[in-house]
Amino acid sequence: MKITDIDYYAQFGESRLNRMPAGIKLLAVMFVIVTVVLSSNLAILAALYAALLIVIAVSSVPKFKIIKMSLFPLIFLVLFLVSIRNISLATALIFSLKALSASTAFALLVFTTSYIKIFSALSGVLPDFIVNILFMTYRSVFILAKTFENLMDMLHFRGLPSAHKPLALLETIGNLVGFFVIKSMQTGENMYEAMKLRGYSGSFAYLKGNNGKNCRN
Amino acid sequence: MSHIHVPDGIIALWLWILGYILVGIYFLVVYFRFKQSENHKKLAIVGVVAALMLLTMSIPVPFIIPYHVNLSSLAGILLGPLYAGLAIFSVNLILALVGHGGITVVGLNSIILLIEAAIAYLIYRNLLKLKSFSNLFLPEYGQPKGNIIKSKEFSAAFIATFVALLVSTVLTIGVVYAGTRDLHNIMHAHCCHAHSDSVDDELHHVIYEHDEDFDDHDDFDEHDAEDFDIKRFLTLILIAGAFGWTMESLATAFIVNYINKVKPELLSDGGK
Amino acid sequence: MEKIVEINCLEHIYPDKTRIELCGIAITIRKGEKVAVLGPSGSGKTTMLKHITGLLSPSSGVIKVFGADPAREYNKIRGKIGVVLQNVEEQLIGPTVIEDVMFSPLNYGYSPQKAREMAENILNELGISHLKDKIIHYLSGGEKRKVALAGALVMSPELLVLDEPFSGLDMKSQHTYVRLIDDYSRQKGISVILSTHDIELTVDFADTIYLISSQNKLFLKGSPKELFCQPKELEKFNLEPPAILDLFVRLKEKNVNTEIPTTVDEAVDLLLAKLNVQ
Repeated sequence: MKITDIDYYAQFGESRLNRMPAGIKLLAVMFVIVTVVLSSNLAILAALYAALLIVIAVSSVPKFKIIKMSLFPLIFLVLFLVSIRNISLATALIFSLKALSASTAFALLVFTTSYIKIFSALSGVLPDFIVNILFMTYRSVFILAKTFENLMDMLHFRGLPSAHKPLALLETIGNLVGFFVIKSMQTGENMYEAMKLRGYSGSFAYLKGNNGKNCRN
Repeated sequence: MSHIHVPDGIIALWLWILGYILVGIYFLVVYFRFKQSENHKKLAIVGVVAALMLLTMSIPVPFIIPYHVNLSSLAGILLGPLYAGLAIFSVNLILALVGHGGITVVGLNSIILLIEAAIAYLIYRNLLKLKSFSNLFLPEYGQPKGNIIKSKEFSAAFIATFVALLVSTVLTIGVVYAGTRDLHNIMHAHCCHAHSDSVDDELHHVIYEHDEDFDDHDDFDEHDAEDFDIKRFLTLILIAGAFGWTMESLATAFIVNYINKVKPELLSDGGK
Repeated sequence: MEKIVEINCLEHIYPDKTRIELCGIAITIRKGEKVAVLGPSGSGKTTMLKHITGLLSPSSGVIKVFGADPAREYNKIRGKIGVVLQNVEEQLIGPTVIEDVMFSPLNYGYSPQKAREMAENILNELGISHLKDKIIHYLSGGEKRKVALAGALVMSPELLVLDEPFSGLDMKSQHTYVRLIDDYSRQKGISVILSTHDIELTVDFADTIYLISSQNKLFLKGSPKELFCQPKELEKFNLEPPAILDLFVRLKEKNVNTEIPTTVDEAVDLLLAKLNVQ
């Protein structure tokens, strides 16, 4: 799922979760992570995951998209579980519930909380310059997304070499990505020039996000 | 990308905390280096490179096994290892937020990928400086035309990425192995090993009370116990890895080749 | 009147050896003057603006902005210059509108409270305070341009530099935008220099127009009326006169005794007079 699409739901969603203060949601996620990390009790983990599913069910959030996104960790988990000899059902369930609980909690968070609030909350634990890079990364994603979409459209119109010609395929993708890299670096330079013109001299005096107070609710 | 897609709750607490401590040390190094160099432009570009990495991950390479382009090694070549790490950390954090890898392993992931970026950068730069390497691409040495080896930059990028990925995969395996040594505490909580202190006796009886295989603990065969098989894990990773390393090295090499043709200064400015 | 910008025989050679020469004419901008620079793509308009804003240093020639060399001494004059770049997306850095507009004041050392106050003031003055808490990437193109303008004006500059400010806007938005800039500059007495291909928009707005074509080494300077009444000269710059002026110039060529209007209102009055309609 594209980050830009997730952000749209976070900004314009109408569910109660969207309206809930970010601090509470972040605390809830932390609680889930702590439980996932510290507990190996099947019943507790099952109850935790069930609770998260109930939250999804009763909220007017994009349920299918959230659940779909939350299943991604299972891909690696399968690899991991296959590496356990004589694995029991209980063990497999415990690991799966750990993975799913954590990913579901985060999926609920990002679909209902703007990135500004999330990064602003992180400014309490991360250095300023890292938080500013996170903000700039996110902003850059949106600026570059249009160029990226155009590239994908071009792939759609003009096609790629067949998978039966792997080198030609990789070369084409390499050229596309190379083009995208050059455009992006140019964008970065333009952004830097704009920042300089607006007084930026190395210290990010702003971009603390004011704990997201300015955001929609 | 040797990204540890390990979900939360699997890697040992001490290890992922160590990962974050190492990242904290890295932040300090970057901060002081940045203060010295006053290379503000580099910091502004970091956000863009991170965005680039996030967006290009969604370019699907239609292959037998689904594969996604990753740019950690390229980030190292373009930004230099110090600043590439910032982009890598941002990407890992954002990926963790959208469920691609656990939040607890962001620190470990970042350190491993930072090492990958650094190795790619160092090998790329130093190969290009080596006269013996550059000479291989001179016409008088019979450089074949029309094959995939486009230029010395192409070959240097391929070798740099391949080695970087090999090293980071080994590190990833090492991390996963070290971080899962205590997994028996979880696994044996539901096993029949009656002498394990971690067994929850009551739960054990509830689950296994009627299981004839485990009625008699004295007959329990330790070879039947659950155990994380590092060899099996290694084999799976290496099989997938060999394919992934080759694909990614080729992809990075083609990207570098293109950039070298169109805007070579982007490659030579990296690290400055 | 005080000269804000002086450019004399500017030459710049890009790393790919592209040469831009602006040597045919001395370019000056005085206090309170509104200048438009017109020319075809590649004529050197953006290059000139980048020199004014200190982003480029000339290979030869003289450029002074507020008496300083902008490439070397931009720190001294930065607070006096507001800039809106062609691609506003790359200029809007903040997550929300208010935070983006606060960017400059905070960088200049104002307290967050003062920066917020300055940002809110300029948003009010430009009539976009309703956008204050909006997320930047969800704004329309026109709204983004206004926000970029707010960001450029928040520090109350004496010179506003705009590079192709109307590109990507529909006709109505273009007119709204040019009126916004015009009204603000009149109220505050700030000098403006903008580059554009769009002749129609400059007729009402500019006090002085420079036509440049670096490749052909052609330069012209004059008021809108002076320049746009010379269609043959305009052709050399790949430009056509504004429709209203073109109409009256051709009428004049057909021996219709008339003045040349620069605005539609003037044209209506002239026509009514000619047709003896009350």
